[in-house]
Amino acid sequence: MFKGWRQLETWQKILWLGLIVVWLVLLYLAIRPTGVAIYRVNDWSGTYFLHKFGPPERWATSSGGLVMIGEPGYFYVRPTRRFNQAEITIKWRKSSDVPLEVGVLVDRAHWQYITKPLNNPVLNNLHWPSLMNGSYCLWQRKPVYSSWQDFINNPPPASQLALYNFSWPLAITPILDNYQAKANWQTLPGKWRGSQHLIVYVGPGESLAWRLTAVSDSVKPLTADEREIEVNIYGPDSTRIQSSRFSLEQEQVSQEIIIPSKVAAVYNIEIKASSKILFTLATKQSIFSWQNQVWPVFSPDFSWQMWTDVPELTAQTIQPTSCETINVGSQSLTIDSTYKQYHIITEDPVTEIKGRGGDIQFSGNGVFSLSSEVFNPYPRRVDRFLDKDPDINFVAANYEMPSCNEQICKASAVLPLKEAFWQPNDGYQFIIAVSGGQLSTSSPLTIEEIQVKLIGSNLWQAIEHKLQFLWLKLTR
Amino acid sequence: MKFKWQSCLKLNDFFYNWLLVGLVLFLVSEAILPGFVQPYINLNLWLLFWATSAILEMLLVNK
Repeated sequence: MFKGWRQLETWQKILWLGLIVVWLVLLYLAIRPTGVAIYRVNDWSGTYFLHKFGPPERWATSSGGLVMIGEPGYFYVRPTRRFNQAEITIKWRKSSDVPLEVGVLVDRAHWQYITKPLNNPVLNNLHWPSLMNGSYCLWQRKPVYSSWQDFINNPPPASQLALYNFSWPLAITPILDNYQAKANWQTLPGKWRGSQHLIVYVGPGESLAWRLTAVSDSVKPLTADEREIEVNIYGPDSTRIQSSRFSLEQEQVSQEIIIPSKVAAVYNIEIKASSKILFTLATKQSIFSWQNQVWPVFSPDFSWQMWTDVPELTAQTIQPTSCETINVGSQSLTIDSTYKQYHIITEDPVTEIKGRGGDIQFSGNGVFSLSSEVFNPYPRRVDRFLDKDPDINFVAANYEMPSCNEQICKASAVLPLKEAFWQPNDGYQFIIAVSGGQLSTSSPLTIEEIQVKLIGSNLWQAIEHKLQFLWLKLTR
Repeated sequence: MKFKWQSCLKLNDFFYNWLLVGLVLFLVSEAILPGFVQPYINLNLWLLFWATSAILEMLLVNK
């Protein structure tokens, strides 16, 4: 079939060379030897690399542009190779000044994302005196601290501080007067669905004592991921002191946590589980609360009460039988459809939530408790209710304001991809989160462009890594 | 003007081979590394051109 190269005519040689050049260019684009790949998108249909903008009902598909009318929105990034981090740059119309965050899915079984801020109107419009240290900023109602070091060495009480995208590095030492440890186990009423984060006070000489019993109420068999349960215990200095993983292979699985504590301390129990798993909780502790969200499941005839310090409560149910009216302080909240989030602004610093039976998920910026004395030893997260809280005197954030011209705002966030979940055929999943349920067809978020800059090892680093791996294999 | 069947066959023969080599190269590359070719080249169109040249090849040889 092939003639000798010399016998070929010039145009034939050019076409053969062209084919090779095209293949080499495609090879370059596929392996990205420099370790950097940049993809852009400005319409809802996406590209091969940035695709599956969904769910469709949260995007105005008629315009063709990237117009979000509901939240959160998702999209996938499908590069030809793996990268270590992604720098997401979003340009949006200035008219939509909403709290905006972008994140990447790291744990699909529990739908956990690592998120980073892009825009926070509360911080953009906070005109308190501020101290900058790189991307870290400390706002003070009245100047007290002269430097960041001063603030870290001598922090204010947690009740006076609000944080945003900022891990509080300091151990909290609560002092609770008249605290008496309980000797007996008490079983909490009802069952508690899915992932939860408990903040527990343990008195001096007492042991952190919890018993979890997991069952599933799913009609369909659970997948391997859904059966997995992870329990992490964090000590007073926020370091993980215990971690266990177990699988719901039998009808029910129990786990007991006993950790002695010589001094009074706050422990955090993080339970990662599918929402198809229900926990029965028993404890010897009397002071504890759930952070940010709680999902109690009560029998239909059981009258329950909870207390919360969240400024805005969000309620949602997935069970048609749990559509009911609940009391939130002096107000009532009617949940009349499934998979819809209902928001209500609370009137008091601590609000009682009451209902009868149900399977309702509550969430908000604060804690939930079974006692009217809500235990929250941590600084609160910055939200749109910051101005209404006269106790907050300091705001610390790791945040850079977006750069805006007359019409367009632009902000970037760097997300790690090493631990990110890779969906076969679709790639990494990203979330665009707008907090507060502020988007609708009449007040959409119009995104002009999304740019994803992926950064990973370059060709030489990859070769070096492979050689090191081979050398280790050979020498062992 | 007389139509030169031999020149036509020779030309088609080249394009048939060129398209076939390209097709195999791209399909193998895409199979090894998904996203290698698909975002940039329409392989269905490439396949269509190659099939057309294959049909033409048969017709011209029989002529």
